[in-house]
Amino acid sequence: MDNVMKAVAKVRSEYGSFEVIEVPMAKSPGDHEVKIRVETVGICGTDLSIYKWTETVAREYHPVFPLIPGHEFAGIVEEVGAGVSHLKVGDKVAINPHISCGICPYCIQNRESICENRPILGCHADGGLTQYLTVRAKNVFVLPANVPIYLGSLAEPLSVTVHALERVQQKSDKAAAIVGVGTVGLLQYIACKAAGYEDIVLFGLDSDQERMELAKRMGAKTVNIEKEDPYIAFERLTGQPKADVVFEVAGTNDSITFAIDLVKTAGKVAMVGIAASYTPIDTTKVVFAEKELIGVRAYNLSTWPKTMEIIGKIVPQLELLVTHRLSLAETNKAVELLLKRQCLKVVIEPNAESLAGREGR
Amino acid sequence: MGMKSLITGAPGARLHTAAIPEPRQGEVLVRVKITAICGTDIHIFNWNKWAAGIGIKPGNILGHECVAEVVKLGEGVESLALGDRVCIETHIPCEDCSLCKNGNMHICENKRIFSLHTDGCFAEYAVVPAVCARKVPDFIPDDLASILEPLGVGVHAAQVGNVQGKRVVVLGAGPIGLFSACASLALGAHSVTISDVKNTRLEVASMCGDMHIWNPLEISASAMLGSRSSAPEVIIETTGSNQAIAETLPYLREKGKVAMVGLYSGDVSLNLSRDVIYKEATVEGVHGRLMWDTWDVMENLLLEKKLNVRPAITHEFALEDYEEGFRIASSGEGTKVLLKP
Ligand SMILES: [Zn+2]
Ligand SMILES: [Zn+2]
Ligand SMILES: [Zn+2]
Ligand SMILES: [Zn+2]
Repeated sequence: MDNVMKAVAKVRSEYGSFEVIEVPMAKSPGDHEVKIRVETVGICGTDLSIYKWTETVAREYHPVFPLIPGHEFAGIVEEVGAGVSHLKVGDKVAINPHISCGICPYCIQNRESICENRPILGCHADGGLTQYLTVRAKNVFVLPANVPIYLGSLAEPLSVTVHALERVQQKSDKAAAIVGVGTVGLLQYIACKAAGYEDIVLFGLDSDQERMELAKRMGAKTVNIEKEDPYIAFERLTGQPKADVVFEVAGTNDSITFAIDLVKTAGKVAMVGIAASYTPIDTTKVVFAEKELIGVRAYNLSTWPKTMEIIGKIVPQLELLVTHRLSLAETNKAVELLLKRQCLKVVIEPNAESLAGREGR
Repeated sequence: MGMKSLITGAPGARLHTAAIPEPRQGEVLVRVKITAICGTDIHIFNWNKWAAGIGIKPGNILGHECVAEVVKLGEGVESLALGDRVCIETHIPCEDCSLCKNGNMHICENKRIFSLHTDGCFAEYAVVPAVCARKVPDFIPDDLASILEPLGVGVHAAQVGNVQGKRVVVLGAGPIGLFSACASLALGAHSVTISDVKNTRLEVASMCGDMHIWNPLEISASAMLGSRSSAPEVIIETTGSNQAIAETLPYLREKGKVAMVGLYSGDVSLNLSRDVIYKEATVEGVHGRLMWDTWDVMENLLLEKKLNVRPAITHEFALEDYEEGFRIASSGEGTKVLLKP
């Protein structure tokens, strides 16, 4: 059956409603496009919001149902359209799901992260939870040979953390703090380490205990702020009382307040975590100590080549991050695991059933 | 021999004949020519919670903005000579911490503040740490020289805002807001809009240059800033009013910048996702002036006649008439009020 393929789709605007459906086979690539055989799709909080169909999701995305989710994905180039020179059939690739417009004032300045018109695959348009997908070649990046394909879907969240580093640009910094120990926090740790920070301390809560253990196995210094004074701990671990830069990835009011307190005078806080509505800020601290709060959203196109360079060097750490590899039919199980916080990174392998020898993983 | 001085009444103030102080090592004695009333002085005059809580000693001499003449050198002072005309940089750096050693003397970890932790300059004479006595170029007349310290905050804010070619909205037309707006024009902003709820202040602003004036009590933020061509790329916040920043921040453009200068009495509630993170905007605190980059830039802009701030000096009194001076400065009836000892 070459004219249809399997996909997981949000079939209506209700809680849940993720179903495996058959859809027409992805079209052959047109000019400047490639067709990808999707091998790995990361499931993250955004997918959970689509699953739950939160108010924000309902307001921001205007999908036509069924909508195929999945914005973190990678695969193998199946077919190459005309005018594509940097890709060939069989290439192992990761996909930037932001289809930036290329013509708005921000795209023209290479700031696609704030493009005014950029559908995101898996959010506004069909994404990666499918067997095949045809996409603009400009958004496709070749993964280093040593990266197992199932880890390729981590290129997307990793790019967010690489972009956070681009936004703070402080080369002489020594000690970084990361507030929040989810996947993004751990990836931020990996990215900071690759960027050369000498001391990196991750701050988490009691509920992050397992993730902090994992961080330690990656070589990170961790502090449970419910167990010890975070400032004393930071000084003990780094030899300096405050952080040169803080990456705020948890996005709660408490974590933001803490991040602002923890950064040194004239230091920068990269705001990566999506804060919920309104956050009370003690601006006196910001003003007197000339602190800087820097918004970080997604990534630019130019971030991705940097991600490709880094990702080849951090395979062992990424292997620790992926706790579950499931098939397309098991997508609802993946969602369950995430909702119950019984996993770290879950990836779906849409073509796994059709491949031999996938048992016993 | 005694000198006239204005000391804190906690609350209020009173004239007092004090002994002329002696400069110690690293200090100079200056004869004060003209002083100016600042918002900080008004807080201390009103003895609000902030003023009562920062450890000002009883009978402390008020005032930090002035132009003065060096009349006596303390031991070891080589950077200044008798007769030098100087302003006072209010932030007294330790010159030893890592901030001081890395170009951030103005936010030194151990900094003291002239007139809070020392006697001030609302007097015939004052003692000033030599490191904080900034020589004034000859082309700057005395009255302008007396307001260089607050003007420097405005220049610093405009520098942090990186205003060149940008649409700038300055919240607040008090002295710091007005100076931020003037500095933004001087540093090549595409356009400058200045807001205040007091029309008297907006009138002064319109005399200082080609800026759009905005009274948010008369025109809503959405009407003023709601279109693509009017939304600000830079916001300089000098009011310390929750409402001002909360109403304006939603209109900030993508990759915009907020220079925060105003101080709030409590927390301010911001929608960080919508207004900062999704827009990749930046919020940065601005405190005082860089020592001495900001002063250098400011003097150059004055030399090039790009900073037209003289209309900001709305009133002048003898030190003895301080009551009236404080009344006018705190009511917003005047912008910069000078006192002559
Ligand atoms: Zn994601
Ligand atoms: Zn665009
Ligand atoms: Zn002042
Ligand atoms: Zn210092």
